Amino acid sequence: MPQTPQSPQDALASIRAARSSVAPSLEYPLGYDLAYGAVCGLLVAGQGMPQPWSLIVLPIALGGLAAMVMWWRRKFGWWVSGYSPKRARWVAFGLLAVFLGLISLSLYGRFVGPWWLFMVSGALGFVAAIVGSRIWTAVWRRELETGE
Amino acid sequence: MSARPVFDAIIHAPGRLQICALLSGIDDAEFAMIRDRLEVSDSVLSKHLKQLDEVGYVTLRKAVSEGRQRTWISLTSAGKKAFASHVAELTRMAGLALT
Repeated sequence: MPQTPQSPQDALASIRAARSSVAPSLEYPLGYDLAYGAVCGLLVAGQGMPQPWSLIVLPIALGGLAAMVMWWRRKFGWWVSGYSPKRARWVAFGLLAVFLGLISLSLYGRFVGPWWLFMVSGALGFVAAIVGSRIWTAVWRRELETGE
Repeated sequence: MSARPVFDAIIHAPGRLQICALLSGIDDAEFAMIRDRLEVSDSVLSKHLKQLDEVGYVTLRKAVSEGRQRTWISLTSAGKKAFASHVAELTRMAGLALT
């Protein structure tokens, strides 16, 4: 990248180039998606599982999430949380609302029935996490490229 | 709400501008990642980071990973604000140049 004095136009172009340079390193494996889906699915389903499983599943899911963050940092050398970018954070808020709804479904199954409802909500959480994270990534990449 | 346009001489130097631009889209980045993206030497990047650190625009955090100490850099809220104001001023100046 150029290190010489620059006009406002050149400076703005270099800002866009620098921000966009983060995005090309975003070719992460499908395994990451599946792991994220599994972690979110477990977090959702765990609330509807009978004791002691709901207590056992929670630290496993949170530990998995921490391991994923560590893996990402080691592989790419940077980190962005879902709620940091201006535009993409709204996708994260939407996904959070979906998860809260699914957790409510798990709790409904636990206290009202049917008992197996946590499997349905967990599976939906798995799918929602993968789809949601890919949408979030697309919105964030666009945010980086347009410099907004 | 858009930032008030203010030219910032500390940020405007090409290397520091790119460092701020890179960090503006993420939470934090490792020293080596920024160095490789900017295609500069360790000493050049350290000099830029020192200048940004001195005015409170970045924070540097040391962390051990795989037995090696690594430095993670992030923009402070003052840094984010200053960068947004500088970008607003550049945009204003670029608009003036076109008219």
